[in-house]
Amino acid sequence: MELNIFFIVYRESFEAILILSIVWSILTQAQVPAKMLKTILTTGAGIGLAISSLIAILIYQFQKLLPENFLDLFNNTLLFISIILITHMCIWMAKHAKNIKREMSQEIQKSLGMANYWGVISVIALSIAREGSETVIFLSGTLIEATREQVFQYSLVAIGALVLSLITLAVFLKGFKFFKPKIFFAVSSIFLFITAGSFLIKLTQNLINSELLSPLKENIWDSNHLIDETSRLGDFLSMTTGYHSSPHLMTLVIYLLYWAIAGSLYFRAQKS
Amino acid sequence: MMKNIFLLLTFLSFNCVASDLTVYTLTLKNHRFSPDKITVKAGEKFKLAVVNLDNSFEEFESKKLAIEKFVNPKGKLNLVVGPLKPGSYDFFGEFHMKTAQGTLIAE
Repeated sequence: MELNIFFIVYRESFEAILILSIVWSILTQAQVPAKMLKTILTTGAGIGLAISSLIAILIYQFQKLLPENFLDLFNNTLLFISIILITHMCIWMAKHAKNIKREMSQEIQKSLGMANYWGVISVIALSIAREGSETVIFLSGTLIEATREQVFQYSLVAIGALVLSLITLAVFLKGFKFFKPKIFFAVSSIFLFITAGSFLIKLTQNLINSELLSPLKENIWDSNHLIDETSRLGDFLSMTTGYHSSPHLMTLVIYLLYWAIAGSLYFRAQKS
Repeated sequence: MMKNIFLLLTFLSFNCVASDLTVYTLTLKNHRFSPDKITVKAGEKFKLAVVNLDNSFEEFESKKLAIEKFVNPKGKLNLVVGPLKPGSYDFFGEFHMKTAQGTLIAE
């Protein structure tokens, strides 16, 4: 049980931390002043944690008043908004990369007023809210069922996992420092597009499983013999990219459409 | 633009969803699946119902089936799955991994 708590808390926060560390590094490399950086991070994290707690309170106190598929709806909505926000952030970055190259920090600060930061703040808040709400639902359920001694023990394990996540965050931030800004922006954009793409696959799959979306044609291929999603590599790929060995046609169409649209917007922004 | 295409696809696909499928039911009690081995027909789409008799949330998950969904306390989850090729597909309840484990066999 303890191991399971550790594993879930760490895994959920890991996904949020990947995005958080990238956004953080982007802001640092864009020479956003330290004070502003602090405001952005705390506002984003604060909103994210507030949403997570609110969801937990809602489902534990008012579950009977909520529709049966409330959590599903919540999840799908967050996925959808996250996809739009992350994509938007990458395109916004592409537009401003030139300023960063010129290393005229003051000019950048002017061009990135607080209004622009709301995009970044929302990305942080939603990443934390998405993973946080799941963790909070899981943890509160576990703690409710636990005996008094276990509550203490379980809380320690959960805190331990959180601390490890924060260490992971620090390691990522250190590691990202070695990239040159230009390379870092390009690499992180690709990574963020892949992440948004994996959210889109998850969302599509979710809607198909709920019969809200037609698969068009099921299992258009089978790459299970190449990469099995229960293997370690397959599990990692499915977490980061949304990999599945036998996708439906609908999933593929939506995924390719996403890359076509996001890609063309990105290159257009880079040119302008 | 992406949103419009997405909405269009959603709209188009609403009409062609089949619903007279065989239903298989899994029950969760004391964080265990019953049955923990369930056999379904391969090559055929089917409905999978997960009924949670426990007082706690569960997350029904299967990597091989690409499913990850919440089940409410005393709640029920309805899923459309497949068609599957013959083989075994593991599933589990992520919130109670020690006990909530099961396998779906398509043959």
